[in-house]
Amino acid sequence: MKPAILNLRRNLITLGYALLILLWSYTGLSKIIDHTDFQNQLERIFPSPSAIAIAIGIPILEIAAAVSLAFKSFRTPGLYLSLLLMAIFTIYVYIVVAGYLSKAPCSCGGIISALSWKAHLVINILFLFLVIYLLFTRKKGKEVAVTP
Amino acid sequence: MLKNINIGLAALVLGFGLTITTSAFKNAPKNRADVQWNFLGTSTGQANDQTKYSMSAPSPTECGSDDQLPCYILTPESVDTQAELHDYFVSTYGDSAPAIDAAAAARRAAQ
Repeated sequence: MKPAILNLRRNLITLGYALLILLWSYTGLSKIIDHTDFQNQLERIFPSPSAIAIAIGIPILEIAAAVSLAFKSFRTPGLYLSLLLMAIFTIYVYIVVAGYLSKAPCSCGGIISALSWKAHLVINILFLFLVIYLLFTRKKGKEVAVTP
Repeated sequence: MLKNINIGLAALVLGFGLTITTSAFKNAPKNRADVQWNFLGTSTGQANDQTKYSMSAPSPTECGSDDQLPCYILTPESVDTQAELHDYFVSTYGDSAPAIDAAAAARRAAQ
């Protein structure tokens, strides 16, 4: 394969990882910083014990995903965790867009929270495809080493 | 030198840094107890119609896109059903559509 194409693929993969790391670190830490508000929003939908568990578990998983993806040796588990999280969030946003929830919190963080729910769904689906693509390339061993 | 930077680590630091240095939450109500009701109607005359509001469905157009219609209103936390919203409109604004329209926390373009 031509070097130019290889370089382009390498850069796209690098960019993909960077976007995921940015996403998870941003949303995870934002939930931790305003943990009380996040939990209050969850309690509007889930029973209190579940809301507490989710309010603690989700940001931890998001940070774990971000940290895993930042280091090449741990990228595979990071990608699987990203896939799980993104699938859950995408299903949740779909449920909201479809109107099945009368009350829907969205402690999304920053720019993302300014989106409409439909735009949020589109963004989530795009990230889902990104994760699947990165998993595919990693499994196929086509990922080009990123200079440490 | 750039090649020696761990891109992943840089993205991690950037993500954490952005979160810390910016306001990381959505257009949260000023008062945490407030409930946000998104206006789904197509005219200002519907501003006092509680059936044109939703807590979950987004407004048809983006908030801030224009100032033709209300985008959402904020109510106390206790107002979490449309019936209660109607009562709130009556008790707070005399069920006046212009008054409710003027009280909208954000505005948007008509469809």
